[in-house]
Parts: sequence; C-alpha cells; structure tokens
Amino acid sequence: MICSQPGCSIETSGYCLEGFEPDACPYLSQVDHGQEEILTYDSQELIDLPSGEALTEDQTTQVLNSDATSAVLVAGPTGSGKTTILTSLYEAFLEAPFANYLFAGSQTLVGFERRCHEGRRESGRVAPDTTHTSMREGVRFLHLKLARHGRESLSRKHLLLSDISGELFKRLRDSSDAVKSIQSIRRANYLCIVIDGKKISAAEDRQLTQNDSRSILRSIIDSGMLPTFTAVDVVFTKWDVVMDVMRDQNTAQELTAFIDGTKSILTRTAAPLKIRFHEVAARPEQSSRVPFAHGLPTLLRSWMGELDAENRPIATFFPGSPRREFWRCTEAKIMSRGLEGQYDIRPI
Amino acid sequence: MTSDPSNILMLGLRGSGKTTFLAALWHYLESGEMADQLEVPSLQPDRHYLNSIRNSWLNLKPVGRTSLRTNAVVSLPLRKKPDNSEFEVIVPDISGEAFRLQWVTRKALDSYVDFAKGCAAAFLFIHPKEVTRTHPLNPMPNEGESDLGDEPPIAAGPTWSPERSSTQVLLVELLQLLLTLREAPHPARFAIVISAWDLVKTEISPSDWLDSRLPLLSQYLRSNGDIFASRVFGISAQGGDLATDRDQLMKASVPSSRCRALQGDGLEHVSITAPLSFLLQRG
Repeated sequence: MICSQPGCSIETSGYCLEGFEPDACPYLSQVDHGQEEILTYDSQELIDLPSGEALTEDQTTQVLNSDATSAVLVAGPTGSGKTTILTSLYEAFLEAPFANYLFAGSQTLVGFERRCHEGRRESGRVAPDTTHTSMREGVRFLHLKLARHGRESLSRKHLLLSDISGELFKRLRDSSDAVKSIQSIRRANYLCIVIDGKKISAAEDRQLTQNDSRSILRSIIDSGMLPTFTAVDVVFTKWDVVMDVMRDQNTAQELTAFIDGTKSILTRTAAPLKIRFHEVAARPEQSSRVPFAHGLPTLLRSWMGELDAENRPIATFFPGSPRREFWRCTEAKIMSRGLEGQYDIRPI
Repeated sequence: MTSDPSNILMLGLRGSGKTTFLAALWHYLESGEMADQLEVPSLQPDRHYLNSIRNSWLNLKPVGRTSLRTNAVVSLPLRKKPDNSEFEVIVPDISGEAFRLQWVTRKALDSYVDFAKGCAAAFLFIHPKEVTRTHPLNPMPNEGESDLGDEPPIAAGPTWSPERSSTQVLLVELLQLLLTLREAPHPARFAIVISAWDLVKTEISPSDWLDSRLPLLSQYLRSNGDIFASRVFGISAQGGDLATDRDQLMKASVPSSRCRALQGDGLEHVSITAPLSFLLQRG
C-alpha cells in the first residue's frame, strides 16, 4: 500500500490520517509504482554489496587460500570456444546436478549470467553466440563451488576458471613479459589449452591452429612459472563439427592423422607435465549426432581432481529415495543429453 | 521474556506472499482458534500493522504489497509448548522490491544490513506462478519448451541486464549475500516457503516441487546442509484463490482453518506455524 497523503502513516501503523477505510481512501494505492520505488530506494542509506562479476587475480586470493580449490587457466585464440566451455558448465547446473556434482555456490553469478546471455533465447538471437572476452578486462576468473555426495559425507571444492581474451592469448604466445605479468599461472592446477575443432577440420587453417596451441604451451612452460603439479588439458572444441567432417572416409583418415600428430607434438612440449586430451562439444548444433555438453562431464571431473576420470563412468548418488523428483529430473537430463554411456545411472 | 529476541528476516520478491503469510500467521497465533505448539501469551504494545494486514486477510481481500517506504518491524511475543518457554520474535516486513534491487543495483538498504548482521534465521518466499527461467538456444532435446507449467516470460534484449536473469539465480544470490552479511554465531536456518500452494495442482511434495522448478536453489540448499539448515514448505495462507474460491473460503468454520501447509518430502498437512517453529529450533 502507498498513501499519497503527507503525514499519513497507514503503511506502518494501519491508521488512516483521514479516518478512511482502506477500500474507500482516495489517497491509497495498492499498486507500487516501479520508478517511484527505485527513486525511494536510491534516496535511502545504501551499502555496497559484492559485485558478483568475474574476479580479478587479486580477488581470487581468499578462494585460493582455502584448502580445496582447483584453479584452471583456460587459454585459446578468439572464437575457439573457451568461454562456451565455462558458460555451458554453468547452464548445466541451472538445469540439474551435473557430472555427479551439486552446485554449492558462486561468487560470480553476475559474471556467468552476463557471459551466458548471447547463448539464450532472452537475447533475441536465433542462433547462440558467446560474448567474447575483452582484453581490457585482463585475466578474470569465474567461480563455482561444487559439492559431491558420498554415501555418508559431503565434500565441497572451489573451482576457479580463468577467462582470458583471445587478444591476451596472442600476447602470451608472443611475449615472455606478458606471461610473467599473469601471476595466477604460479597457482594453476590445470592449464587448459583450447584448440578450435572447426579450424583443425579445415585444411587451410589446421597448421596455424596446431602451431598456435604449441606456441602458447611452450611460452607458458618456458616462463618457469607453472608449478610442477600442474596438469595440461588439451581440449578439442566443437567436436560435433569434427565428427561431421569425419563422415568422409578420406578426410577422416587425414584428420585423424593430423590430430594424432598434434597430440604427439603437445605431449613432447608439455613434458614432464602430465597431459590429457579431451573432445568437447559444449553446445553442439541441434542436428548434430554429438549430445549436448559432450565431453564436459569428464573435463569437469578431471578439474575437480577425480583420478582417471576419463576411464570411469560417473556414479550417481543423491540423498533420499530414488523415486524422488530430484533423481527423476537428473536421470531425465542424462538420458535427454544422450550421456547415459558416461554415467552409471543406477541409483546407489 | 526469558531470552533475547530472535531476529527473523522474510526474504522474497514482490508478490511472493510475505505479508499475506504474516497476516495469516498473526491471526492463527493470536486468535488461538487452532491448538498449536506456539501461542501468543500476552499482547505486544503496538499491534497496528499486524491488525491492519490481518483485517484484509479476514475480509478475504488481497493483503497488499509492501512499499519501500514501509518501515514495519513487527514483534511477536510467543510461548512454546510443552515447556512454556516465552520469547519474542522480531520480523521486519520488507518490500520485495528491495530484494530485487539488491540484485539489480548491488546495494542493500542500511537498515537491512544492520538487521541481517544479527538475524538468526530467514523465511524465503517463492510464488509458484512468478518463477521465471532462462532458455538456452541449442537446448538439449526435449528441453526447448517448459514442461513445468505456466511461467512468466523474461523480456528479451540484445544486451544482458540483471532483469534478464532467472528467479532461482536471484534467490540463490539473496541467500549468499545474507550469509556474507550475517555475523550471528549460530548456523543460519532457512524456511523456504512456496506460497499460494493451492495453485500447485499436482500431488507433489514441496521439496520435490523445488527440485523440479528451481533446481539451482535446490542444489544450493542440499549441498550446504552442514553450514545452514533448511526445510521447504508449501503454504496456502489464504486457503484458495480469492477470485475463484471466495465463496468456499467464506464458509470456513473459523478463519484459521483456511490455512494449509505441507513440509519437506511429506504430503500430510502441518500447522501454518511449522516454518516458524523450524526457524526457532537451534542446532
């Protein structure tokens, strides 16, 4: 209720200054006026809240100092699909638990929402896109806190995912000083090199694409800043496009040989660090044979520190009866994404 | 009173049913029409606001929305059976707009921050017909359309703005921000109240409804059970739709019998005071 009569306290006391019943009062409005409300809000004493935007390197300190944190440095050229990997993980948690993890919080909900927008119907687009990260932003980190249910306990872990612009990627590839300016490299648990699957599928682009990935890997390793425990994850994105191209047998042979060659070169470059390869289609075309979020569950489980994640199906365990809606929804999501092969979907 | 008052917040967006619940709760407790664990042993000095909203509720009229200019902080003197312990609960009735503006402006009212620091527990209200969600392009098969009933749309636009986020993201942030502000020593307790429960036509428990309609919020509550306690309630404070069920509601033998409540995984009715009793527990 809002009363326009100066001095009337009906909103707080219930007493009308003029003695009207609420129904009969000419000054009383049941409907709040949006703009008036905002002006009222702005006129009051306000306290700043955390921005919810992606974190700067300095802002990650508190999270990094907690016991259970995985810091992932994601590097790849413009348009290679870096940000789509991060936004697709977040979108998956908006729908259901993912890869046997529950969403347990995020300091960067605004940062995620901002980056997801162009991939949503609410953007007015008909085909998804991803907001590209600007170099002006420098290195920014998106934050997720994820939980995993065991039979008797619950464990939580922080995940810090860097969002580095393609332009900065070029600088890191070309300049040792640029690499040294990124202090978070010293605390990276995982270095994720993103290779654009669409580009390696095209004969005219693939050699440069391969060399870009080798160059950035060598540049970061040569800086001597990576801890010895860092694992290198090489992610071939847009795997749905690769699969499409491989329908032609000759092209498939040629492309397979090229990808194998790329893996050998990168393995040698990364040595002695552990290196793993992933095929990911975070947001495949509707017509694609590859299911939604293909490869993301294994990638996420690797970043969460699950050993040999790629060789084990994802066990599912949720509290309560397996008949619960929670379980039913989760199972439906797994099936609809065609991911049943990657999950052990029997309730424990 | 034998102990310090318990400060309890009512969180929720505009129209989520906070004031209607408060009106029904006040009548239920004060009238003593129904036997309950909680009762009002003696009247507090200032009852103007509570009686005003209660009158609208008794007249089967919309209780009205709370303005940002409203500064109603109500006090509920309570006695709990069977040990007859007496205590006071302080509840500010804050406009839902203030919570939306926390997300939009990243600022909170100074008075809210002060109260949040010492608050013991909070209700979080959700109206089942006001839950908005976002829709990824290139969705998974069968996820293009909602199978979850009516949902209000989010206005489309080429650039992101805070209004383009879903209800569940906003509510998770409200809880996260509250926990950031809170300085009270005891773990927080959250009663998630799905209001206008009579509008949920399928036979489903409140917890299951939350799992399917607001999965991010549900995951957040389940995965932090050792940091704060939470329970989900379905509450029909009016007892039905004021437009379509009015005649039936007028026939109630006593007004308090209009109130309906379910909790957690259950389908059995509980008292409308169950969320408050849950929040008043310790440990």
